[in-house]
Amino acid sequence: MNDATIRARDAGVAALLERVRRAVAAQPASAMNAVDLSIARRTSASNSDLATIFATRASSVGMRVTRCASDALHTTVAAIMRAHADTSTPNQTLRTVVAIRDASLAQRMRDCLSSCPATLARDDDADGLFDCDVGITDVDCAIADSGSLVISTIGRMRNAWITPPIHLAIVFESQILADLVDLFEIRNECTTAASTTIITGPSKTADIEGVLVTGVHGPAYVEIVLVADESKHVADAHALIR
Amino acid sequence: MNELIAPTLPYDMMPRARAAIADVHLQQFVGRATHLKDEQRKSVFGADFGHDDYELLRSVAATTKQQALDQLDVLLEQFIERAQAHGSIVHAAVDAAQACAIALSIAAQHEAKYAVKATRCVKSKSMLTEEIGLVDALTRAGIETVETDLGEFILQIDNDAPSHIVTPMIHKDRAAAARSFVRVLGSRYTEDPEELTAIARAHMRGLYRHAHIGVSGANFLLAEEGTAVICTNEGNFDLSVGGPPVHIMFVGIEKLLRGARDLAPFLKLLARSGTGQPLTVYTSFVNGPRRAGESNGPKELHIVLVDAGRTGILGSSKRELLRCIRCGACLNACPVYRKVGGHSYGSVYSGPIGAVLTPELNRGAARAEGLANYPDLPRASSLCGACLEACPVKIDIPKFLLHARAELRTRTLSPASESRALRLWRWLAQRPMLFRLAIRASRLHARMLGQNDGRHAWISNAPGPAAGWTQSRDLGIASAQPFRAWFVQHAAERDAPPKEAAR
Repeated sequence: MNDATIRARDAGVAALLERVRRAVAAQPASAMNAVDLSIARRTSASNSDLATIFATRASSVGMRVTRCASDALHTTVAAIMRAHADTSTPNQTLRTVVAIRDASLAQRMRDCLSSCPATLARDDDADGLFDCDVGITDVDCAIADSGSLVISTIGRMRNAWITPPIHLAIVFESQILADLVDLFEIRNECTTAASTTIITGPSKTADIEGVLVTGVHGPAYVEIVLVADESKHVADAHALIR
Repeated sequence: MNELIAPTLPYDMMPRARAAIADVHLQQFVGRATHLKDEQRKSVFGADFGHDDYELLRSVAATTKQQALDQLDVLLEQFIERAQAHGSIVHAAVDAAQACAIALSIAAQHEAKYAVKATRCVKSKSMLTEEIGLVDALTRAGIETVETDLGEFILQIDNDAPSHIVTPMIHKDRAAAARSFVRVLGSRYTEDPEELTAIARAHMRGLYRHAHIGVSGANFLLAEEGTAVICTNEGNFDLSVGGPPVHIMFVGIEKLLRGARDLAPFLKLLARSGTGQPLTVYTSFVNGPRRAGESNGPKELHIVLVDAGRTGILGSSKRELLRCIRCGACLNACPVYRKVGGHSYGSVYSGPIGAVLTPELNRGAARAEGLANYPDLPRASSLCGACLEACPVKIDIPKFLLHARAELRTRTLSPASESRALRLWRWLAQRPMLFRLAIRASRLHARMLGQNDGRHAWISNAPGPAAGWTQSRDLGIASAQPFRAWFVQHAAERDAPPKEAAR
């Protein structure tokens, strides 16, 4: 891009700002009082069983939730993978990309895949992502109120959760926030990572005569493995950080 | 641009409205779908927040957005600075032509940077890009641009235009989709929505993979963080932005919010007002292009801030209109939209909000063109107030419709017959005796024209200006007893002592 183009662009931006300044000044500001945004909250942070609320709400928007103990993570993931492999073509192996920020969890999942009908895809091949059957991710956090997953590009390949037809997300109970309001009260990935997506259900459309169809561009299946925390202490520690 | 949303001006609404009312399929589809969505919205808000908190939440959102507009200059400057710090390239466009020209100049530089000419573009759904006619501009420049939202895609291959802000093909049935898929994609004929969606999915996969440019809009811009927020249900935004090396985002300047701390009420209101969902399936946050070490995502992220009539509204007494978050709730609630459908409004923005926004966005430099070009829109309303009740940011649409009607009168843009009728009315209303006589005469006249089954009286074929009404329904006749007489009688009853003691 040459200097003239850049100058023209900056002049355009400056001119827009000037027009906006004049327009703002042309009308008196409305006499509206300060507002209390907490009215938007629906689920209280003091709720003792956020995991159950999260599981219920996530199911109600069409995601599948399987709860397990920490030491059963391996077998739970393997069972879900086998179930999907069986419903596809017989003896099919699922091409799987692992996009997990936590290095030790990522290694555990890669190990787990060796006992599944799956082949591991590279997690830095943007084009190859389109040939994957499954994307396995962890999450930055989850939201109980809406049953949502929050996944950023920090430490994870972008779109690994939306390109393959199956998304398997691992959520630890200690990662669950009560409400969307809480997400924006802490400084978080949404406003720092190159990209973050809040996911609330499988990809959906009702464009054709209002008939609900899942799996339009994103996954038709979102499998959530909700892992109980090993000890209450870990959860308390997380709560303190938040 | 498609004649349906960019008609010859001045735009005469009546032919399309008449055609829509006569179209049995359209009446069924649009009537049923809008009614259902409106009911869903009410029941979801009722269940999730309760009536009082829903009211409060709307007030909070209205105030928050109004305050953002009141300091839009500050927020805009802040956003630009932060977005540039994320590595985004920020542009500004005065009008539609300039916005399209910016896209073309970005595309023209593609070959020098990526050693391949830009010829393929994937586009995520955005009202603003419809407004500025971007697809046409790109296509004319040899860049094949595909709408990736399923509804918009079907409309595009059928050379049709969106008729609803949220559910663009609300006026079309599955058979129309099936026919166009056979014709354009060469797929076998099926009317099953699931199969049609699968065909579209397979088609789009190849496009996402090989596109040179991605295009989208944005639902919110966060000033404090320089973040763009995009809501979709299908996931087409994430795929449009993730694949191609260049992404261009077109955003109206009214989309600014102070920051992430203000966002939660809007995300909750937008999804529930539009479709009754707790949140849209995908709420995507974008902070610039891909970072060092990341293997996908756009290498260049352009944000084009578009004015196109918005500063005009911002500097006028109608600033409140810019609070609109494009949820479509007022369309679903509107009895007129339900009958005439979106295309009757002759604009990308249909329904009550379209009726006020379209003339305002198109006022032009002399601030006079808008209403002269769309004189029917302010009258395309029964002023019932359903739109205000449904609006998540409490835009007083009925008030602005009335203001527009007043402006039509003072600028004598109203039809002469309307002025004559109003003059006659004013003259009569100032002469009580004559007024009463005239009412009596018209009552008598109506009863002569009408039919009577003993309980009801009606006219099936009214003469003169009332003929339009009786073409599609009967006209009721005033009762035999005038209100004045009824009132005198009931006032006497009310003042008389009750016959029984009240329980």
